[in-house]
Amino acid sequence: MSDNQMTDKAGTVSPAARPRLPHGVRLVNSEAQGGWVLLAPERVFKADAIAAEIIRRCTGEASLDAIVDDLAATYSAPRERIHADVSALIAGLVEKRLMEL
Amino acid sequence: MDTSANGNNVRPLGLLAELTHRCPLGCPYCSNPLELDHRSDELDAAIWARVFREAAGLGVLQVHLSGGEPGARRDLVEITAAAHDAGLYTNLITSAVGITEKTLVLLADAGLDHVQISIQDSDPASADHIAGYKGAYARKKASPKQWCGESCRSPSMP
Repeated sequence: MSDNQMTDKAGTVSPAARPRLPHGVRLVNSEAQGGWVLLAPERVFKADAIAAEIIRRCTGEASLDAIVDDLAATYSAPRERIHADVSALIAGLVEKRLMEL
Repeated sequence: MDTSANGNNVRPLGLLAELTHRCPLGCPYCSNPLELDHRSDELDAAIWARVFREAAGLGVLQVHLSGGEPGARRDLVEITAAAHDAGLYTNLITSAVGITEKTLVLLADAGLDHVQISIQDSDPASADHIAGYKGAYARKKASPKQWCGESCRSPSMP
């Protein structure tokens, strides 16, 4: 399914979408740079601790719903809030071609 | 370089590795239009492996394997593997001339993350003129499909 079908016009990611990093995009923990970085063709994005926890779970196997459930349970946080943050991050990464659905 | 741990720690992100100055093309804009370092003066794979490890230690995240034409190195797969093993994101900057599908598969297995093909001009005749190599443009344009099959996203080129 194309990325377009898995996000609506407001950029909300479908609960059934299984986000994954595309070929050529990797999440790496760099000791020298002091944290997680998302590496892509000619681009480097620093991932803060929260973003890294989300992106680490985007393996193409877990659905958005499952990722949100996992994070909500792990951090004992309100599911609605987690869902909004995860959906926004993933939609933004899809826009930059740093994530596939 | 500021190596303090106060949060203003600025470290290099990328390393451009000119593996060779040999190249089948002769683009006049290139920093190496003529032979600069002779083949016998090129750094060997073991030295590059050390350089990659040291670079990674400094904070470098991505290495751009370039030249000259990096495909002119017979040990390109070994060098690519060394960069990958050092934890670097590896980008091959190539003319695409002389990189076969077989080589590309070996490079991918060695951990190559990305390939960047140089294009001299959007006009084929002008591109070949700049490169000093007849048919270079057509070969560049055909390379992605030759390497990856019909599923490869076709570049928007005339």
